[in-house]
Amino acid sequence: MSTRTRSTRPSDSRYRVARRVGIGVLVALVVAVIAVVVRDPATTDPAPRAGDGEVVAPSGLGPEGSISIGDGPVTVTVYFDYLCPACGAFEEANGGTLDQLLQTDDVTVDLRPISFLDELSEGTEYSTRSANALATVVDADPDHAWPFHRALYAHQPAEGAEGLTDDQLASIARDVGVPSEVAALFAEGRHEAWIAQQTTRAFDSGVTGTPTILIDGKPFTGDPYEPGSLASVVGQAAP
Amino acid sequence: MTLQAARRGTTGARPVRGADRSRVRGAWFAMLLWSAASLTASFVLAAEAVTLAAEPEAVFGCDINAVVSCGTVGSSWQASVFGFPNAFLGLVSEPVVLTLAAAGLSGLRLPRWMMLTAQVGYTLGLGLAYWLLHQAIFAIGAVCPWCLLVTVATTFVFVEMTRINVLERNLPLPRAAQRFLEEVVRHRLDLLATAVWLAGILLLLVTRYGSVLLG
Repeated sequence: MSTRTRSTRPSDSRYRVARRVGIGVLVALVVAVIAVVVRDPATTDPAPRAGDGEVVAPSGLGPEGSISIGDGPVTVTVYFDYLCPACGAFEEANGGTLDQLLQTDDVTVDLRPISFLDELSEGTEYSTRSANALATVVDADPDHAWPFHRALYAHQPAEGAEGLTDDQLASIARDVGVPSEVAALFAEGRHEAWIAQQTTRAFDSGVTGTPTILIDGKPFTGDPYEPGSLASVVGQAAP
Repeated sequence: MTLQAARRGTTGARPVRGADRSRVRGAWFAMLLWSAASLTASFVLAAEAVTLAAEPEAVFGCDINAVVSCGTVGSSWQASVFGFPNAFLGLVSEPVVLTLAAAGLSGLRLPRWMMLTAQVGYTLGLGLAYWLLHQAIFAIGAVCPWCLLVTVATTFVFVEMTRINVLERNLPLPRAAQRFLEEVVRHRLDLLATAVWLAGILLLLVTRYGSVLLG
């Protein structure tokens, strides 16, 4: 800074000290910001739980790790995050339609739970834990996977709020008929690493957000939030 | 001196001399740029709000960059505190500030009452901006990039405006406080304080949201 031709007052030194202190604080803050950003990968990992690290896929999966519900000719693939409000809106608009199409054996629903909204549940990692709960049911009690999936949406927590606890998830599971001993496994987080892997794979394959809906592998072009919009398209896609 | 006396007669203000003059000019210029930035961001946000309002049923999908854009911020009640999108406030207030800055930059000495009114109004705006930031971080749990630009730009406009008002002695302050603030400005401590403040907020954001924010 240039020195100005101004009479130096005795108080001047005080401002210089203040400036030095200020610059010191600023540097410290910048260093702290850099430190936080650099060590970030560690903080985005789910909290360590039993089964952490080891990728354990649920049994009975289809190709590419899909969770197949039903046995119809048309495949409806849905990538979702249980915390994503848009996915909740999709379920509200088309969940019932899919349910009917499953009952009439018109579709196979291919569920692809992913977890990328963990930061939006007040540190409770709800996306990962809810997806793990689904995987656990798929593994041990596949017949209840679909009703459990729908029940999870019926109890969807708000984005940015605290997610449901493992106990609450277990209670929802029991309500749709999942045996207590299976629901009790949720807290182990056995399939969490698999969920993380599926999430990475989904994004690597070009999924950019949720819900992503594919009809026989092709992007669904209709409005996913219009009630029953899936019904007509599924009919047309059938060969 | 007669010229200055004449000026004093018309505006009731003490002329700003020497290095302070160029400081005031610089502040007007910075204010011009930052209010333009804030206006741009307000435009984008207002357009988004209008789109959102046009289809109330529309829920936008969640991006990979969820923290920065789930459509959450725009659809919260905090996004329209006064019953209309907050961005509209930026659309009406920033052009005023922009005009003040252009006038000031042209060398016009704005009347004291006008600058005081601007200071009071903008201080309220700054308060709203930070209340919204607080809500976005702690209540909504999501932030949006354009909203952050508004916060930063509003902060700078406020700082520059305050600096002008200090140097032009527009604020009704006790003598000692006025002297102190002038020295703070001359030692650029105001800019330093602003930098520390914003760095602190950045630290808060990265701590809470991680590097997702930085892309």
